[in-house]
Amino acid sequence: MKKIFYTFLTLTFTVLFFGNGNAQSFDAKLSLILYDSFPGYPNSTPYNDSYAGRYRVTVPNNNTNIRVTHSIPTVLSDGNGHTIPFSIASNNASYRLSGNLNVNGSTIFNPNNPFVVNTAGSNSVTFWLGGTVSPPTNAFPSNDYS
Amino acid sequence: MKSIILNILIILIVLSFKNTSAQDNDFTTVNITANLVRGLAMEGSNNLYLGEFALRTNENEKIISNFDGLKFTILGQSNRLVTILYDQSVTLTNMANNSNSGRQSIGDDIKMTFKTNIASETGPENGYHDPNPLPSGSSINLYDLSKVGKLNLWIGGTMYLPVALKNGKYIGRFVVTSVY
Repeated sequence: MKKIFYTFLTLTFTVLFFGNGNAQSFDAKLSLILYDSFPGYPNSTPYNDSYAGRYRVTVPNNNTNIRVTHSIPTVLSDGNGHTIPFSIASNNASYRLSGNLNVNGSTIFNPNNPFVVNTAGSNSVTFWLGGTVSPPTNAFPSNDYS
Repeated sequence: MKSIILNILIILIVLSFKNTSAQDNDFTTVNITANLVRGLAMEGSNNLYLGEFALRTNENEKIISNFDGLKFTILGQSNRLVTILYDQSVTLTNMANNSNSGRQSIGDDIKMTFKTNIASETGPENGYHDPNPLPSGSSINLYDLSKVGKLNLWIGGTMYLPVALKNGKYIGRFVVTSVY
């Protein structure tokens, strides 16, 4: 009985302290806002703009490889059947190791392709995303494209 | 001894599971929002005809009321603040005084000055009802007219006629700019 108890105790501690350690969390999110676009004129928000999108990934351990894939919509919709094209240019996104939320000094990457980043001496990576809408001249004006 | 071996074995098994599950997938979403603004457009006549003036031996002026002036309409995004900028003084030069070239001669004696003002009116009406003075640089909301913003403007002013004015046709350019 004693052996079973010790075995159970060992198993519990092992699970607690050596269990799956790669659970990740997200925070520091900001919406990407494309402010005041006009029909017929492409409008971009740069990745380092205050209206850029942002999120931060935190993992439990340093020196962790994070494989990042972005699902980027090709159109934004106003919910009433109207759409406008959306894209992110290959140089309109950046990341920065550590939890630092200052975009200055971040590294540009192409968000259209999956890529792997190693957190090195940190356990957080912050990402910034810019974007472009290209409304045609006959696009329907609306404040509700998303 | 057997217990120790068993415990070590358990630890190794759990750690091996840890290694095989070292990958973890998760996702988050970042909202993307955009507002598409209707571009500004101006509708109305391009010409403000001020009528005929009689040449006099002394300086005089003629007031052109906003009602008698030129009306045009600014169309854009409903309820959007628009800033109106315009020339507050327009110089008109004599185009017909030089019969050879058809162009004006150089000289201050053949110029007249038109001091402008604009009256604005928002609302669904198109006619001249109760407009308010709109100094250059003022901002005003475009009236929501079935998802199109509208603002009516009437240009008026005062024409100053100097003594040495010569007869002929006088022309000037008045520029109005509307900006979101």
